[in-house]
Amino acid sequence: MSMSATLATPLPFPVPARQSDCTNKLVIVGPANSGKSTLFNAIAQTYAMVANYPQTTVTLNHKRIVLHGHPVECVDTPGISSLSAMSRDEEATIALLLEERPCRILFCGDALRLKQSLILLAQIQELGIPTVFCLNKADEAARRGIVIDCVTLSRELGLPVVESDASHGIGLKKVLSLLQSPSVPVEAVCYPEDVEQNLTRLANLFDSGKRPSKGHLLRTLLDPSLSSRFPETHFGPEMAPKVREILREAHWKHSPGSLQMRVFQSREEWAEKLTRQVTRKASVALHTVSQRLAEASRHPLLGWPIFLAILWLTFHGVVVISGEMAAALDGWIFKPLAETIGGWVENPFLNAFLVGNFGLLTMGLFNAMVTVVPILLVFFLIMNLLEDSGYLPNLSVLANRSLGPFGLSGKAVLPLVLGTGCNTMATLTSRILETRKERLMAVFLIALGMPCAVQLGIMMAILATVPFSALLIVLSAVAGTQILCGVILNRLIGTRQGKGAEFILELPPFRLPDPVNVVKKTYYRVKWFLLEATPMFMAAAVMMFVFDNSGILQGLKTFFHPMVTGFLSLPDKVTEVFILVLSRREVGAVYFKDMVDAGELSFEQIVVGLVVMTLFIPCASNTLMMIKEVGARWAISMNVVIIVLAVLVGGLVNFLLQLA
Amino acid sequence: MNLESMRNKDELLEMLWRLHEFYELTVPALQQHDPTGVYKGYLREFASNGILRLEGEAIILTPEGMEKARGLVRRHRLAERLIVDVLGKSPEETETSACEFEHILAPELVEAICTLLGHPRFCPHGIPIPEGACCLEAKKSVESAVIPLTQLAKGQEARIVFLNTHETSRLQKLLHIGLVPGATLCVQQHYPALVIQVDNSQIALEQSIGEEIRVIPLGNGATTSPLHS
Repeated sequence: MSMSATLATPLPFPVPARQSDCTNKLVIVGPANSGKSTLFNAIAQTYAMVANYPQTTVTLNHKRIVLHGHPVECVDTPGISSLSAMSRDEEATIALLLEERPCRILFCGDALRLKQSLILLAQIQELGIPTVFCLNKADEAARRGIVIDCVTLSRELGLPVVESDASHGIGLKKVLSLLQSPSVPVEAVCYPEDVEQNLTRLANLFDSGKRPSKGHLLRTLLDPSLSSRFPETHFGPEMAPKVREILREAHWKHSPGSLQMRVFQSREEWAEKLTRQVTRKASVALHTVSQRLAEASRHPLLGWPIFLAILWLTFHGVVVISGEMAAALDGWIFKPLAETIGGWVENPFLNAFLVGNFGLLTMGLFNAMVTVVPILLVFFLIMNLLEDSGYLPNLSVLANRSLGPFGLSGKAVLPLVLGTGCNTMATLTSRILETRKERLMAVFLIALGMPCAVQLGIMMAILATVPFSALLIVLSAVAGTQILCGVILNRLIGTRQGKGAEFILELPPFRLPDPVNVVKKTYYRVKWFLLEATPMFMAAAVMMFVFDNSGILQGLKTFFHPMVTGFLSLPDKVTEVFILVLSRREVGAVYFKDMVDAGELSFEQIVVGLVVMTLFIPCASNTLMMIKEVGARWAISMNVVIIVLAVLVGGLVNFLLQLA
Repeated sequence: MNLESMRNKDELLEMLWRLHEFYELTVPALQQHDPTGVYKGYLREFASNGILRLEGEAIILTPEGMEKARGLVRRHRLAERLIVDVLGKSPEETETSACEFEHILAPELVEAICTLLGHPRFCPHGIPIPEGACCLEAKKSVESAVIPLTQLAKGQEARIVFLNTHETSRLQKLLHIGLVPGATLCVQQHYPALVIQVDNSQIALEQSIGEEIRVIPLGNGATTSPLHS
C-alpha cells in the first residue's frame, strides 16, 4: 500500500479564532484502556472507577481543581479510537473536543500501543488546542522490553512528552508543571495533495480570523453524507451551501470512504515511521502464563467450566464469608445495642419508632449495616478482582454467540455482568453498545432479571438455608423468563431501532490485579452504596412505620389480598415486602430475609417470593436512569410489562408447585 | 468506426453510470462534469441506438444501456483493483492502464479476475463495483488469492489487503484499532468470536466483520495463490 507522501505543504492553519471563548477546561483524552481515569484520580485527587477493560468510563467526569493558582475544570473522558464516533460514550468525548473548545488537553497515550496512540494524537493536534502528551503505562512497556525515546519523540512532535506510570504516581509532577504552559501543537501529518487542496479551498471560504481548525475541516471533508447537519451547526447556514459544493466535487472523484482511507493511511504512515524511529524493542512478547489463562477463559469448551467455577466460588464466598461476618456483627454489636437502646427508651411509641418491627434503627440502620455491608464487601471484592484481571472482555468473547438470540453481541456482557453489581450503573454502561436496539435490549434484560449485588447476596443467603431444589427452581424460572422475553422483544423491536449487534472489542492483557486498587475500589463502592442507601433504608422504615400506625398498611394488604394470598399463596405480610421493593429493591430483600429467618414462610412461599422479587420492577434510581437512557416511553412501558410479568410468572411457579 | 470515437463513447457511458449512482442523471449534471463537451455530442447517437432516452432534461438509460454501462464500469473498477492489490501500485497510478483494460477484457476474463481478487465490492477510490454473476455465486470451487479473514487456519499468518466494508464508522473503527491494509495478523480463535493478534494487541470480532477483512495468507498457507500455481 504505497501512499507516497506528497509534496504539498500542510496549510498554515492559525489557532482558531474563537480562542477567546475557549472554556476553562483541562480535558484528559486518549485511546480506550490507556489509564485516563487513573491519571484523573491522581490529578484531581478524587476517585473515579478504574478497571482493566476498555470503556470503564462511560460518561464525562468533572472535577474542579486548582492548577498553579487558577481554578480549572478537569474532565475525564471515555476513551476514543478516532474523532469519528462509533458509540454513544465516544460521542460525548468527541462533542466536548469539537464543540466546547477546552483550553488544554492532556493526551494520555498508551506506551504499549504507541502507534495507535500517535494516530489519535495527530487528529487531536489538528484541533489546535494546547496539549501535553503523557505516555502512560511506561512501566508495563519496559517490562515487555519496549523502550521509547521520549526526547526524540518530543522533538519530532513539537510537544512536551512525559513518560508516566499513573497508577504509581510516577511522572505526575512533571505533567502538572508542564500543564502550566502547554505548547500549541503543530500539525504533524501531510495528506495527499488533493486532500490538502480541498482543505485549503474550504479554509479560504472563511476570513483568516475565523477559520475553523484543520480538524474541523477534515471532519467535514470526510463526512460520509452530503446531507449531514455538520456544516450548518459548525459553520452557520450561509457557509453550509458553499461548503457542500466543495464536498460534492471532492466526493465525485473519491468516495468519502476512500478519502477517509487515504487520510488514515497518511497518518498511519507517519505514525509508523515515528514509532520505528523512537522505539527500541529488547524482546518480543511471548506466550506467557497469563496469555494462556486468557485463552483458556475464552475457549469454547474450557471457558464455560471456568465461568461456572467462578460463579460457584462467588456464591460460596458471599454466603459463607458474609454470613459469618453478619453473625459476628449482629451478635457483638447491633443486637446488644438495640437491646440497650430498647431498655433506655420507655415510651412505647418512641420505643416502637426506634427499635420496633419497623424501627428506624432496627430495620433502617442496623439492617443496612448487618445484612448489607458484609455481602457487598465480599461481592465487590470478587467483582473487582475479575474486573482488574481483564477477565470480563474474554467472557464477552465466550458469550458472543449465546447472546445472539437476544440481538446482542458479546459486548453486552459488560453491562449485563455489571448489572449484578448495580442495575443503575449497568443501565448507564449500556451506552458502550453501538446500536439503539442493543441498548434497548440490554436495558430491558437488566431491569427484568438481573438482581443487584445486595439483592443477589441476600437471595444467596436465603437459598443457602433451604433445600438445593429451591435454587434450581428460582434460577430456571428467572432465566426462563429472561430468555423468553429477550427473544420475543428481539423479534418485536425488529430492525426499526437500528441493526443488530456489531462486535469489535480490543482485549486488554490479562494481568495480576493490583491488591491496592482492588481494596480501594471495594472501599469506594461500599462507601458510595452506604451513602446512597442508608438514608433510603431509614426513609423506608419511617414510611412503613407511618403506614402501619395509620392503617394504610392494613388497607393495602386487604386490597392486594386476592393477588398476594389468592394468586401467589403468600401470607399478607409479604405485601409489605413488595411495597418496600417498590421503593428500593434491597430493602425489600432484607425484610424478606428477616421473615424467612423468623420461619414465617414455607418452602413454596420462599421460592415464589424470590421469583417475584427478582423479576419485579427496577428500583427508583434505575427507573430514572432508564428514562434518561432510552426515553420515558420505553422506560415506562418496560416497567409496566415487568410488573405484570413478575406477578404472572410468580403465579405460574406457585401453580406448578401446588401441583407437585 | 475509429478507435478514438469508440473510447469516447465508452467514457460517456461510464460517466452516465457514475452520475446515475452518485447524483442525478440529467443533461445539466452531465455538463457540469464534462465541461469540454467532448462526450455530449454522442448523446443523440446513443438515443438513436436505443441506449438511452432523453425526456426533457432527464437522461434515462434503457435496460440495454444500463447493462452495457454496468459491464464497462465493472471492468474498469476491477482493473483498478487488480493494479492496486496485485501489482502494488497506488490508486493514482491506475487511471490510464485501467482505461486500456476495460476495452479489451473478455467476459470470462473479467469473472476470473473478480474471483481472483475475492469479489471486491469497492474500487480503490471507494466507489462500488457492480456485481457480476460470479459474485452472486461466489464459487468456492475456484480458489482466490485474496480470501476473507474467516477462512484462515488458526495460527496462520496473513497480510490484510483491503477492508470490504463501506460503513464508514466501522471502517474507521477497524483502521484505528490496527486492522490496516498491509498489517500482518494471525487468527487465534474462530469460535464463539474471532480473536486475532495484530502487533501488540488482541482484537475480538464478529464473524460477519471478519468476512469483510480480505487477506493474503503468508508463507506455506493452506491456500495456494493461483498467481503462482
